[in-house]
Amino acid sequence: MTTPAIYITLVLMFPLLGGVITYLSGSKNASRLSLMGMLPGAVIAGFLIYQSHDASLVVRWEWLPGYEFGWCIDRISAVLIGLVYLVSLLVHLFSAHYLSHDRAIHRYFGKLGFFTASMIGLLAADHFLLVFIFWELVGFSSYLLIGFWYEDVEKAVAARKAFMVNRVADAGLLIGVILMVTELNQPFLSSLVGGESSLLVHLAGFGLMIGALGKSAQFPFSGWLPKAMAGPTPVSALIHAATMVAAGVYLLIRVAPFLSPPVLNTTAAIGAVTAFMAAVSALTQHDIKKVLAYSTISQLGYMVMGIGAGAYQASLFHLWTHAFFKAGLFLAAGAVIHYLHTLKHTDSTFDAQDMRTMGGLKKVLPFTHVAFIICGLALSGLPLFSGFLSKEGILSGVWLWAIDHSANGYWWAYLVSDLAFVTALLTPIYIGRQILLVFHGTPRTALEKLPHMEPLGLVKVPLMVLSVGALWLVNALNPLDAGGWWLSSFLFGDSAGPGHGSIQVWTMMLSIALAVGGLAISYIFYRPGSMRSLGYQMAMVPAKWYRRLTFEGWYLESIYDGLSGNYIKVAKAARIFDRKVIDWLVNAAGVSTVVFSKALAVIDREVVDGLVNFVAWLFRGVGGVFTKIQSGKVQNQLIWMVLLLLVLVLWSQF
Amino acid sequence: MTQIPLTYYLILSAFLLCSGLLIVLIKKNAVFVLIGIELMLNAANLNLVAFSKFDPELNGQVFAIFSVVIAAAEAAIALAILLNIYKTYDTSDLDDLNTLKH
Repeated sequence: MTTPAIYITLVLMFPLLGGVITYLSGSKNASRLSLMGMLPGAVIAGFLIYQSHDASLVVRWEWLPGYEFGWCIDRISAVLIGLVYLVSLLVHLFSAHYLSHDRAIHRYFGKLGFFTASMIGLLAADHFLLVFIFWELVGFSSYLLIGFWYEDVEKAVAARKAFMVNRVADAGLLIGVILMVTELNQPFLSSLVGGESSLLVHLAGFGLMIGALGKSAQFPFSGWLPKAMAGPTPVSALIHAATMVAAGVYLLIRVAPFLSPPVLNTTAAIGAVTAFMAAVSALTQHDIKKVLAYSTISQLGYMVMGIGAGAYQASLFHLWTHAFFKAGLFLAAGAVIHYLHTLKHTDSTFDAQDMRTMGGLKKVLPFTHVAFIICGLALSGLPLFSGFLSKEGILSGVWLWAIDHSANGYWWAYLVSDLAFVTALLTPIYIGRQILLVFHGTPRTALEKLPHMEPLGLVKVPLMVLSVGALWLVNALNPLDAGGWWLSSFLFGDSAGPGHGSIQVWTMMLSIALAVGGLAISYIFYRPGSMRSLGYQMAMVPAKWYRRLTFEGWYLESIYDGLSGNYIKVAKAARIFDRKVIDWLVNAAGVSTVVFSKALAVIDREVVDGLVNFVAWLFRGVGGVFTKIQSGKVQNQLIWMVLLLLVLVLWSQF
Repeated sequence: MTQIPLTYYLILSAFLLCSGLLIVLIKKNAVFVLIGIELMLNAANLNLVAFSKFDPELNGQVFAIFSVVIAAAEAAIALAILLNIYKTYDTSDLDDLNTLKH
């Protein structure tokens, strides 16, 4: 084996082996064992980043004669593998505490290791088929983890729903992959060539785009991500915020050079629509995790939009920063949920995820509070935080794209950038609302005397690391310059990054204004002591149609249900059709065959056999006559002899 | 002495031949068949003698004497075979002597 192959094998196998060993050895030392798999893997991942600086690690082998397969870890892959390892490691740490009382903790860590390995496989894969395989493995392990508490029917159903929605989108990816490998003959991600414009290229591009949209929970597939919140909260942090949902964005970044302009424009539009719709949905949720889920969809919409608009560097940057602050938000939310859960786990009707039961938690969870605020401000796009940098990059990229495209006759291009800016206003509103409702104000429900129960040191580490990662300084030196990402020149070379034109300055000022304005709006509505804050405990499912629309997430889930319900109706109709018509046809065909064959049998017996029998009878008769001559009796033969003699004599006479 | 015309001889000979032939064809006993054969032979001899009347060299009569001698020898052999058959198969019925058929 070559050196790159050894690296790739190691980096893939460590989490998988750790997971398998943890699963097999039972729940006793589960968290420690799984960390034993993760830590060496993380070291190798760090080494891979160093290695990829000089040259990409490429492994190619002949899978079938004349058919090459391959892995490739270039700088982008290496950095993202490092990111996956980092977040996964932190989530492992956090889970050790979060699930310490769960009997099936070894199953949990087994699945987590399996997921990490599949995710890394996806990032390391170069051949489209490998990408597809790991894509499905990632989806499958996500399904396993969402349904971790499978005894709860609701959660098992949620896992299935999330899985099924992904399957629909994966059909698109499969079409794209098949077209890329067989028709277009571009099976390797690392060597895609674009610029062609044929029907097949458009079709393959749309297929790949649909697959990516499904995995990244973009409209119209976005409904699965809120459902995925049924899984344990650390899982949501790892899979449904930082890594797996970013796989779609990763794929889009990879295939962006290949995609044709119509596909890219569609991508940008869908990203903007998703970002806006999800941000609106996040405004009215009561579930602490659902707010974050919709927020994730919204931020992924930003990334997808950025790729569509050609600002994929900014999108990758946003993927990076988002992984930190969103994982931080989820883990902090997990700490809150865990706290409330241990507090009230005797009451079965109590919902530890409902924000109506929270409030004023900053006194009992000060550390979590600070982490949540840092990550929340990063999400809202305030300067000095990481989210501001990457979001500004995307916004200015989209703005430039809109200027460019509207000049070329795309009248809707400005709608895309406008939606992006509106979303930038909505983001601080919903996250500000959440911070105020969860941590500030007076405690709601019966949590009058809250015991001070801050998470243990082990849990603080992930929150600390992720919060620090959400600050500007670890990402770029200049807190206002979107192009100043440390990794920017490492990943894209010197050509990357937006310039410093007036658009960038305007974007910067506008996004600061929007972030501050949004936070101010949320403070006005939900400040401690305000009417909404005090009455929030009694808040019901909203009655007005537009609030209801956002609360239900634009009814996407109902639409899925309706669609699948109609499928069932169609299937039932098809079943009746099958029974009545097709079965009847088949039966009729059977009966007519029997009748026909009976008739054939009669013909066979009477005519064909009759002929044969007639011939046989004829020969038997003739033979019978002639055997009588040969009777074996001397006198008979003599009689014949005499007769023949007579005949001969008479013949010669006449 | 008036000559008896040849036709009479021939008619007698034909009668003898037909009687012999009938005996050969009808009778089941091998001895009768032999007698039938003798009759037919003698019919032929009669023909020879009758025709030699009109032949100055008397070839026909000589031939007839040969024929009688050979017929005697043949009858002796045939009777010997017949006797052996009777001893072996306990029958002289021709219908029962059909071992060659199978």
